[in-house]
Amino acid sequence: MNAVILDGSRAGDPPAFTQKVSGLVAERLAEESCRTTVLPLATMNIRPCVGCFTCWLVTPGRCVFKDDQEQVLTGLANAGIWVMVTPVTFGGYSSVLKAALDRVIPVLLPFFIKVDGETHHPQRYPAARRLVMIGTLSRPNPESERIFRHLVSRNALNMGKPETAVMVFTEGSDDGELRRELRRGLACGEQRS
Amino acid sequence: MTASRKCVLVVGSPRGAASISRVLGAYLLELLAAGGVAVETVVLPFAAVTAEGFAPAMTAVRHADLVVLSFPLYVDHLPAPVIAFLEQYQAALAQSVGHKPAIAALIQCGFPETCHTRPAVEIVRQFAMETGLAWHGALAMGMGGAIAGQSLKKGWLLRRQAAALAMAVEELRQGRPIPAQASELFGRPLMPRWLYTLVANWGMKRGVRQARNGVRADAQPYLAGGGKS
Repeated sequence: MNAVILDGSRAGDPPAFTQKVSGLVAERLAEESCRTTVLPLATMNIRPCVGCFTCWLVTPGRCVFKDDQEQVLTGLANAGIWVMVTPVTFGGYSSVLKAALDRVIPVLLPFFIKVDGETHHPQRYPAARRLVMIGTLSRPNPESERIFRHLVSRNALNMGKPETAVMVFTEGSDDGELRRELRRGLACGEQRS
Repeated sequence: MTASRKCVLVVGSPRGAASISRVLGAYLLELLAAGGVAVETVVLPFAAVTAEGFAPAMTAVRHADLVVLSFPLYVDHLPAPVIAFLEQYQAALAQSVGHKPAIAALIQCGFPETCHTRPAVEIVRQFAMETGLAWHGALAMGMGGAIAGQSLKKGWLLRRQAAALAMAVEELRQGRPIPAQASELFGRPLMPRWLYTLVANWGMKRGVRQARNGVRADAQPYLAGGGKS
């Protein structure tokens, strides 16, 4: 199966814990025999979305900006497993990951449909089978983690409701524990409690 | 509670001065100004998400008693440049001493349901918690696609939202948070959900028919091996 990892580490994040977790994710996916594309977003040229709707109305599925976001769109369109790694930022995603997610609108269709009684957009491509969202914290922050999990559950509804796993790792976690949690979260997509 | 003497509206929309985020915020500022509060508007530059690009906004909020962050919902969350601004603002606050302003949020989204904005409200509140700013609440609404061209001062469609903004200003001016009643009123739908959905889908289908260049509306340009085109 194809997998894509969107690494939302901010450039210069000390001490690169988020990048370390991304690396462990790639290792684990390789052990699962996944063909994995790793996208270090902080090093990529991705302009902010300007909400022009060109990707819906003028050039369906294609953004008006031609930059490194095309690698993200190609990765997502062809992967059965979407993994996103980010420092938990006020309970949400880093600006680095969010810049790429804002520009992911081309993978949706412009119309409204009902999902679980709410309005959402249909998918343009076959929906990912699994979404794995991994957040990192420099120290424990239960409220921030709660908001993060809530946000991911909302995002999953907008991404075609794939099997979703959310993991939050705090800096200083034992490597063995990280690997065990990743083995569980990446193998069967169950929620970490 | 200290009364608000200076309010800064930070607009986090790519459409800047022409955005719905600014229109909603401008009405709030107008009401605050009528009550004797000094007001200022800064627009975050989506084309310059850098320390230099954010300098005017950073300077403005340094002198504020109340910061109102107004933005459209992007993927259940704040737009990336707004997050970048908060990341930079957090770093600046960590190095500053003395007075810190209160912060409130003004959010609108294109989906008909207001519930989509809930994570974004929580994120701005969490920013306040982590930086030591007083959290003064949020006004969030759905059906943002119906707001363009509508008046908050007169007209029928936005009457509840106008009343909610007035209710909120009454408290914000006194240095108090937005009351729950104002948030609830602001979040009420502008019209029946089925009507908004019908018009939105019709508008999109019409837009697609008029604009596309022989490409299917559901084209799949990034699918390996070729998808619909």
